[in-house]
Amino acid sequence: MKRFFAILVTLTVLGGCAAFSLVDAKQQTIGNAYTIKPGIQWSKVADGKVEVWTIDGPGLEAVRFYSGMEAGDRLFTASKDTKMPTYDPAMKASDVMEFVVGSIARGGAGNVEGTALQPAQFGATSGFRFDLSYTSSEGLWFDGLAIGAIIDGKLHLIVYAGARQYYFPKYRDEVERMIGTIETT
Amino acid sequence: MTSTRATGLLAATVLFIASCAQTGSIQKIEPGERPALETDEAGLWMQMDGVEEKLRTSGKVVIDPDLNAYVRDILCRLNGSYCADIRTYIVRTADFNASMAPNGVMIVWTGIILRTRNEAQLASVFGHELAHYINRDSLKRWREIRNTTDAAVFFTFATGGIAGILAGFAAYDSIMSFSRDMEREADTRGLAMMREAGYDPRESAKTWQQLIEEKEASDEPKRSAFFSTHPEAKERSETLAKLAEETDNSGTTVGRKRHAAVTAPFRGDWLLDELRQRDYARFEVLLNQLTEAGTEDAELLFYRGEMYRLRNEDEDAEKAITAYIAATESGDAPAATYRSLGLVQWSAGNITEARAAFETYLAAEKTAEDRAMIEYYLKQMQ
Repeated sequence: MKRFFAILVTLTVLGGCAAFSLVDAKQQTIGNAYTIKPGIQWSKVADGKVEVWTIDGPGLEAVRFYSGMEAGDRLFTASKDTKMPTYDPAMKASDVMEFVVGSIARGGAGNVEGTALQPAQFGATSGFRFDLSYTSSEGLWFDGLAIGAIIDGKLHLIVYAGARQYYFPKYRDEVERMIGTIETT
Repeated sequence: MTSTRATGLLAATVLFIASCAQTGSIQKIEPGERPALETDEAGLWMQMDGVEEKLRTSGKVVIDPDLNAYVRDILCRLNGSYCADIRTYIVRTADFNASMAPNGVMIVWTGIILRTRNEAQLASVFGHELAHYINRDSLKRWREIRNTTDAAVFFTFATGGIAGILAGFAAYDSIMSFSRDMEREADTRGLAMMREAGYDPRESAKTWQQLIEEKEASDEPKRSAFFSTHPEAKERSETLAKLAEETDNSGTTVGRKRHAAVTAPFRGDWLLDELRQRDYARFEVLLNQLTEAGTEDAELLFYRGEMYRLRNEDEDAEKAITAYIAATESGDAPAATYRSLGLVQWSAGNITEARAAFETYLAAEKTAEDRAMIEYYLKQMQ
C-alpha cells in the first residue's frame, strides 16, 4: 500500500505541478471514448489514459476514468521493479476484475477483494460492474466500485474508491448518478 | 494530528533520544522490566508505542481469536517469563517476515505462518525474535547508530511511523538490521528455547532452507523484506542444523496436526495474497513445498491452476485445466475451481467443457454473487 499511496501522492504532486483543474457540472468527454455528466464540481488531474477526479483529495476518495486501454497497459505503475498486471483484450469481465484487484494488491494494499461481479450497461454498450474493498498501509478500510466495458478490444473503466468511513458513501450517489449518464462516443 | 505537528513532535522526540543516549554495557532485559524514563531506551519504546497505537486499529491486523491464541500459546510455551511483556500482532501480508520492536511488539506476517510447515518451525521464528527482545538488541543497535551516524538517519526511521504503520516497522527493520553476532546469538538462544519447550530444533534450519529455495526461484529476490535484513541465510541454516544435531532431540515434537488445523481456514486467503505478488516461479516453489509437506489437496491444486491461469504463458492453459480437473477429482474443491475451469476452457475455445464447468459452478454455489455474470457468459456461448 505504501507504493499504492505513492501513486496517489505522485498524482497529488503531479496535480500540484500540472495543477488540478476544475471540472464543471456539465457533460465531459473522457479520452474521446465516452462522455459523462457530473452533477457537482470536481477537481481533476489527467495522466495518459487516466483522469483522476476528486473533491476531498485522492488519498480519501477519487474516481479514476480509464479510456482506450490497450494490450499491455497497466492500471498504474507502482515502481519500476514491480511487475504489474497488464490488460489483455481477450479478457472476460472476470479477468478484468482480477486485473483491477491484482493491480491494487500489487500496489501494496491488503485484504483486496472484488465482489458482486455482474453485467451492467456502460452507456449503450453491454459491460460489467463489481465492488471493491481493501485496506491501506495505515490499515484504513476502503470501499470501491468499478464499471467498465471492452469496446473494439479497448478497455474503458471507471473506478471509484474512498475511505469506508465517511468518504466512500459521501459521493457514492453522485458517482452512481454520473455512471447513469455515460454515453460512448 | 496534522503532519506538521506530527513531524515537530517526532523531531523533538529524536532530539530527546539523541540527548539521552547512554553508553556502557547492556544487560539482558528482565521479565516485567521497563526502561527508566530518562534513558534513551525509554525514547525508543516511546517511538514504538506510538506506532503500536495505530497498529491496534489497523484493518490489516488479523483479529481471529483462535489464530491469535495459537500464536500466543507458542510464544508463551517458549518462555513463559516474558509472555506478558510481548504483544503479538498478526498482520495479513504476503511474504515471510516477523519482527520484534524494543517495546515488546512482535509482528508476525501471515506469509510466515503460511510457510511454516509445523509448530516447531513457527516456534523457531518466535524464539529468534524473543531472543532479540531479551538481548535488548534494538538498544544495542540504536547506540551503534548513534555512534556512527547522525540523528537524521534515525529521523528517517522515526518519520516512517507517520508515513505508514507497517512502513514504519519496515523502516525500523531496515535501519535496525542487527549485526551477524546479534543474529547468531538470537539463533542460539532461540534454538535453546525451542528445545526446552519440547520443539524439535532441527526444524529451524529447515525453515531457512525452504526460504532459500524460494529466494533462488524468485523473479524478484530483492523484494523479500526478510532477506533484505537477513542476508546470511545459507550460513545460518548450516550453523543451525549443526547446533541442532549437537543435542539429544529425542522426545521433541514438530506439532504438525495443530498447526494444520488452526491455519487451514486461512490458507486459501493467504495463498491468494502470495499469488497476487505475481512472482510465479517463487509461488510454484511454495506450492511444491506445501505439497511435499502433506498431500496436494484440492485447495493447493486449485491455486496451482490459478497460478497457471494468471501467468498465461505457453502451455499454461492446458496445465491450468489439468490442475483444476485434478482438484475437482480429489474432492472438496472450492466451487470457484469450476468457475476458473470454465473461464480457461472458454478462452481455449472448448465451449462444451466451459459450459459444463460454469453450470457445475452455479449448481454448487447456489448463492453465487456473480451468478448473473456467469449466466450472461452462458448466454454469450450460445
